[in-house]
Amino acid sequence: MKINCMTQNIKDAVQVAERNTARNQTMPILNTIFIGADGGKIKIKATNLETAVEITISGKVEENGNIAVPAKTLSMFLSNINDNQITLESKKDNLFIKTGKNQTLIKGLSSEDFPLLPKVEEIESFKIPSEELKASISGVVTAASLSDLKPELGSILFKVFKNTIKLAATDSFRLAEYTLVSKNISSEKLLMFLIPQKSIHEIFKLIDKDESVKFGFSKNQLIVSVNNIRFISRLTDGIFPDYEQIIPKNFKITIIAKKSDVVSNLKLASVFVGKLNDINISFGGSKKSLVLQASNQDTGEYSSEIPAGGEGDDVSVKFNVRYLLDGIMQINQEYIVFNLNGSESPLLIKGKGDSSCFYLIMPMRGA
Amino acid sequence: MNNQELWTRALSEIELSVSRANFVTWFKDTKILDQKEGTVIVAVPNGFSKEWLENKYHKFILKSIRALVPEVRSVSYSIISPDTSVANGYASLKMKPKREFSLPAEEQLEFKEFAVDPKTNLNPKYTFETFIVGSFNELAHAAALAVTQNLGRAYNPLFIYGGVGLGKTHLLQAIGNYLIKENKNKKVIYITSERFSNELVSSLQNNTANNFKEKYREYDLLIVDDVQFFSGKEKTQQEFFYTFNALFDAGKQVVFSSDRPPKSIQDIEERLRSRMEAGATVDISEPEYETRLAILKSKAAERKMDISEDCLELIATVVQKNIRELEGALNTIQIQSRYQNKTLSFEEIKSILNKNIKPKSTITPTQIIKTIAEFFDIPEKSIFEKTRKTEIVRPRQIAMYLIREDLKGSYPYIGQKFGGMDHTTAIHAYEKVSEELKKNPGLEEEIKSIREKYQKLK
Repeated sequence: MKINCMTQNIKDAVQVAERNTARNQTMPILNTIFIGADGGKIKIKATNLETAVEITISGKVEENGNIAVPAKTLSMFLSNINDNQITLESKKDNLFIKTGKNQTLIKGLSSEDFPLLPKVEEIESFKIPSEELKASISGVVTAASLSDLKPELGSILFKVFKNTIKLAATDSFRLAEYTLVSKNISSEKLLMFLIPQKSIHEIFKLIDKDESVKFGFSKNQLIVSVNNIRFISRLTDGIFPDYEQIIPKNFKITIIAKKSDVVSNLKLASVFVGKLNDINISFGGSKKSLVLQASNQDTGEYSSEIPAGGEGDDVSVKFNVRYLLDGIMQINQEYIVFNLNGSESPLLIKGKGDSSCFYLIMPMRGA
Repeated sequence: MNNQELWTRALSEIELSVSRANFVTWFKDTKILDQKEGTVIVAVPNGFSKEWLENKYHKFILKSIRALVPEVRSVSYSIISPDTSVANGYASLKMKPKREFSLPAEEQLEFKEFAVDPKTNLNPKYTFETFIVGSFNELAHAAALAVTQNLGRAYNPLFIYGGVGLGKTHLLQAIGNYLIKENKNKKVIYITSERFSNELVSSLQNNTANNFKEKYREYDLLIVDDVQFFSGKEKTQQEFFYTFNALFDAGKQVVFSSDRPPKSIQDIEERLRSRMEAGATVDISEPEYETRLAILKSKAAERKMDISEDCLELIATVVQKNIRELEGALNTIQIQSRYQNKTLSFEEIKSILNKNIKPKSTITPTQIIKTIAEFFDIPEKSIFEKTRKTEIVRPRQIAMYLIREDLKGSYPYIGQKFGGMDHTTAIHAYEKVSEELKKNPGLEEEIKSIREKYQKLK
């Protein structure tokens, strides 16, 4: 193999690829990046057997061939190269790199052992505009569970039906849902896919500013294409809880307050929460206010009153302040609407005049 | 040679020809899924293994299998996710969560619906082992057990009814959980009548009514909770009737629960009602003191609560109505005790209970009359008029009955209350309504909903 390309191209590609390698003692090949040149195309690949990535970069192919080189060595080396152009050449299992004045040899492994990336037989595919995808992912991912105990709760649900995609995540204490409507989707059947959280984080990083992102699903695999990158991930095997039944349909209390007020006061209050992160909120439908109270035996106490509109009875509820902030921060509206029924039932948060997303939180006992 | 034996022997041969690392990586979680007509299907855990075995090791695999079973002509590969327990171990080796994971505080409430198994809607915590039997529920318990022993034949359908918080749902789910535990292949579903109705509506909206129909006809055991909410929903009743018949004809078991017996459920089609009554109908009444105490003891032990026998006896005496309230009382005490960081004394518990137990509602005769006037949609003052119009007489008699029954008002007092009528009129009204109640379940229903209305006033 002999290729010649712009340093920046391969630098970027290696950086993405490195994130998909595995530090696996038994299989050193999983810790390598595959560089291949064939038919005028240069391909960079990496996999950890859960996810895989294949990046096509532009450059000149002088000789076809493949090699696999340790990811860390390659990326550390490349990040310190300042020359514009770079030449890579493989001889047996060694990679020779030539830039302006440098001559480098990196010891590689036989590309024969590099895993073959699975073929994805798509049963459904659609494109999502990058801006919306970014908003929807960041809107729901904070609610996903970090525990490995229930893989379905550690995943993000993609529910595709007709022209809408619903993204949802829950750790069973809170739940977030984001609805995307797109005219270029039309699925007659209801399809549900569970994407592992780790893969979602990777997809998030791959999203480019202006390019839309293409998703293709098979029974157990997902393929995401954006620009010159193809990202493959397994899907979580499991059934996402039927969450729609837990969303209350009617509310006794509705309170509307300015997001900036709520966020800044919650942050102040969070300095004084106890070890349970608990904060007391009084929703005053009659008093037209939200009262936040936090107290900590060691650090002190905090209380503040936020002007609010709305209606309903007055009720005082205890929440984990982190859960509240996680949810409210993801809402991009000037005003936040709080809906609830009582101190032991879920609180629904959404932006005023925005029905595309919501966040549901369970309170803490003992308000 | 069975599948497992064959694969183990084939693997021991393959192991010799590939490196240790390759063997561990690519053959982990593989097995033979099926072999017939000369084709062996190998289950692999993911797409990577599938590609690799297909392209790199196919010859090895075929050769080693044929050495053992010469008839085999081909091998194919299929992706089957390994058991979640195995997958978990695998994932946790590699996945380092980005944010720090810490278990939420005990006080943090959960979406309790998520504890249920999404396939069956059953919550695994409801089992026969945790169900406390007393004289108030032993018949229902025995019937439920009989159903599990003789599915579809003993009592079909089984209809269990009783007030709120008395353990109907627990018993219903215990039947389902028992069955799945005994035989994993049994298809069980638990559903509330409301959810059945919601699903039907959304399936009609989305044009997937056929899927809906098929789905419910596949089960070996269908459990429908709170069937009283079918009342007034004609389309749901109709659809459910067909589902019920399909299951019943196929010898599948159906179990119902409701807060009242079938004959007292209003606005329900006669044919559906008669189906519900066709099997066995058993009731759960309110638990007596001894059972309440037994339930409290078991709940306290479950939560590892430090609470004296005296205190439990106190709770059992004070909280009489239902099991859910018993649990609620225990909850409040537990939170208080954790908050104050000590075991609460008898006196403290007493004061908590006094604060939290709703006093018997104090309703006035005027409120009852007002509710009745609203219920029958007549002007309130017409009740007091001396008229013999049936549309007035009947509400008036019911009002008298309720004042006598619920407020223990004396007959002369009642007569006087209704614009100076004779006390014999009040006696006559009370007796007439009492008599009719025995014969007419519709009246019982009316009275029940009137009572609910004015009890809510408080």
